[in-house]
Amino acid sequence: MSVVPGRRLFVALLVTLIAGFLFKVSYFQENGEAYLFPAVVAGVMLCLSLLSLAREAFALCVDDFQPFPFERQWPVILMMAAGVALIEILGMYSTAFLILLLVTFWYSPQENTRRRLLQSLAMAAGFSLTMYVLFSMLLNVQVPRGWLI
Amino acid sequence: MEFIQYFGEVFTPVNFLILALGTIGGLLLGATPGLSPTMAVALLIPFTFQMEPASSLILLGAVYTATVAGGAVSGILVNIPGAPANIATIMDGHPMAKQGRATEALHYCFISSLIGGVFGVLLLIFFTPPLAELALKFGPAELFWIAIFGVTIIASIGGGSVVKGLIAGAVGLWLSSIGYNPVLGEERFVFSDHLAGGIHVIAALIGLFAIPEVLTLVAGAGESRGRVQYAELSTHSVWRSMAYNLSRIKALTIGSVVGSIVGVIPGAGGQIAGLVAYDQTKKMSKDPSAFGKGEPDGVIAAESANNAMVGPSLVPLLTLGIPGSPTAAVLLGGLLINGLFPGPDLFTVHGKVTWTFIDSLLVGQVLMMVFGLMVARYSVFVTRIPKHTMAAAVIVLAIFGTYSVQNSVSDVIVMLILGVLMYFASRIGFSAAPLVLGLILGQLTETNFLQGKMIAGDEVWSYFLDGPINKIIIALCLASVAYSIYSERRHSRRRRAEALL
Repeated sequence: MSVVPGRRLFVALLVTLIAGFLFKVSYFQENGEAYLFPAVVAGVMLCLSLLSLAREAFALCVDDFQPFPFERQWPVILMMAAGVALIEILGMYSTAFLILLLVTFWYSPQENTRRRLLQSLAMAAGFSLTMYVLFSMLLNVQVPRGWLI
Repeated sequence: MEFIQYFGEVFTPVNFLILALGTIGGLLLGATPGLSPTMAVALLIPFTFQMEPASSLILLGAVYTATVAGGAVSGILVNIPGAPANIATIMDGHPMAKQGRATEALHYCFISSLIGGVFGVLLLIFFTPPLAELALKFGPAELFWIAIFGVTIIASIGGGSVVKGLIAGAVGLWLSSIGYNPVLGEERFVFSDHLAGGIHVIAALIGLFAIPEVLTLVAGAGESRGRVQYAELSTHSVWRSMAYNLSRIKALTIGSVVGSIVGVIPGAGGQIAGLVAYDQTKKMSKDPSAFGKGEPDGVIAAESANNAMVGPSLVPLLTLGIPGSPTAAVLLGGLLINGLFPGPDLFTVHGKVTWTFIDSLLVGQVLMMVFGLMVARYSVFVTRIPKHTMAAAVIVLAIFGTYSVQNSVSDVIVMLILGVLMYFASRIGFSAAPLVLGLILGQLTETNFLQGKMIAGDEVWSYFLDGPINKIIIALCLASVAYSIYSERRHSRRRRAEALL
């Protein structure tokens, strides 16, 4: 994928700004001794990002950008975030079941909705049950228990 | 010959069962397209907490070894390498499968993996203790530079832009400073309760390797199933394959030697080992034109190389704390979590655990071949798991694994945020490996930096820059960066020339 140089330059600038911010919060501290290492690292990072910016400005870089198919990815990011929020409310296994069900249902290429739902349900139930047997019954791993399991 | 003394430990019922299960699991995970060995080992680390250190390392080592070999299964059968280390294998493996020789190709794959793997582990056994002795001469300044060398080399050789690799390494080092200063004890950059105590290495490992793969899997979910053609598995005598394989001494030797040399170079990894060995074997062949059309020597050289790489990739890891591959970097996290710090102590204070682990790698090679030959026929089913199902399972395991490290939802939140950010960073050319290494080695680097500064007093510069070992390591850092810049520019020029044509 060819990316317009303006976008590449913008990304390099953004990286430089982030490095500059990290340098600022690391260097300008009251107890400089405790922040010495992060300040040195952030200083090096800032120099490198300036170098990267210069390379982008003079078009010296290899084109290593790849597209983000974000329209396909945002649902899974939301599902993961919701899952994390629900762990302590519903419990680990119920949350795992929900995540498995939602992700497999949403992304399934199967067109028949009923069959798609049944497949997702079967997969989510089977995987959650396997995890329960393996981790809670056999390995005795501690997991959060909410309203459900 | 200390390693012989601990062979019995590998054959205790628990350790042997763990080794066998790890090998079978690793073969299946490796055969699954989209699950890299690095991610498999990262996901597994939290589940090893309950185990004895030796058992936990046996499991991680078995999965590491077996995923590299298992990756060839999907490569040969469906032309999708399970791991980057198997890219060279498919060049002749898949054409063999299309000719109806899939079983034969799989036999060559596992038999040559065994031979290359044993060669590599023997090198690990004989080279690691003397190098660990050498590490005794290292003070804080040398250890500081060694850690910087590790980050530098993995940033440089990891592929892509060198500058971006170095920035990623620096980001990892900076992130490791969140939490308490290791010498002065002051709390730093804790702007949220979720960051109290810093970023846990395992949470970061899982997030940085697993979440980007989840996002990549869902992006391609539902696309490839219809197009993939699965090769038929016919019957072929294992003994005939073994006899033929052993007769291919040139391909085996090139693969094992090249794999071992590449393995010991920090940061190089199995992909380079396989491709270099394949290329050399092709060049030295009497009929180079047969390569790419189903030449068994291509499979034998590539597979012996990528498994020969595994043992030597642990030499710099166990002696100096510099991983030879991204998966070895994750394994370093597993060592540190078990309270094992690279260096001579591993072979003295923790000799039993370390030698049991190394011996298990040797036994694991044999199990890998035996199970590989048995499981290959069935692992074709694993390659058919749809991407969305795989993505869902990885999400749940990532959340479960991260939570179980410290029973903390904060770790899960950090894991998720780092993972999503890493995905976007990877799309603009940043790699996870140097970032992870920076994060793992960060505390060690800072501690040695601060200790060195205290010892040096007013002569900080001369303390860190003088001395033969310091100078050699600094020269190696500069050489690795210079070479990578040279390679990147050459690559860039070639691509521009191709674009003009």
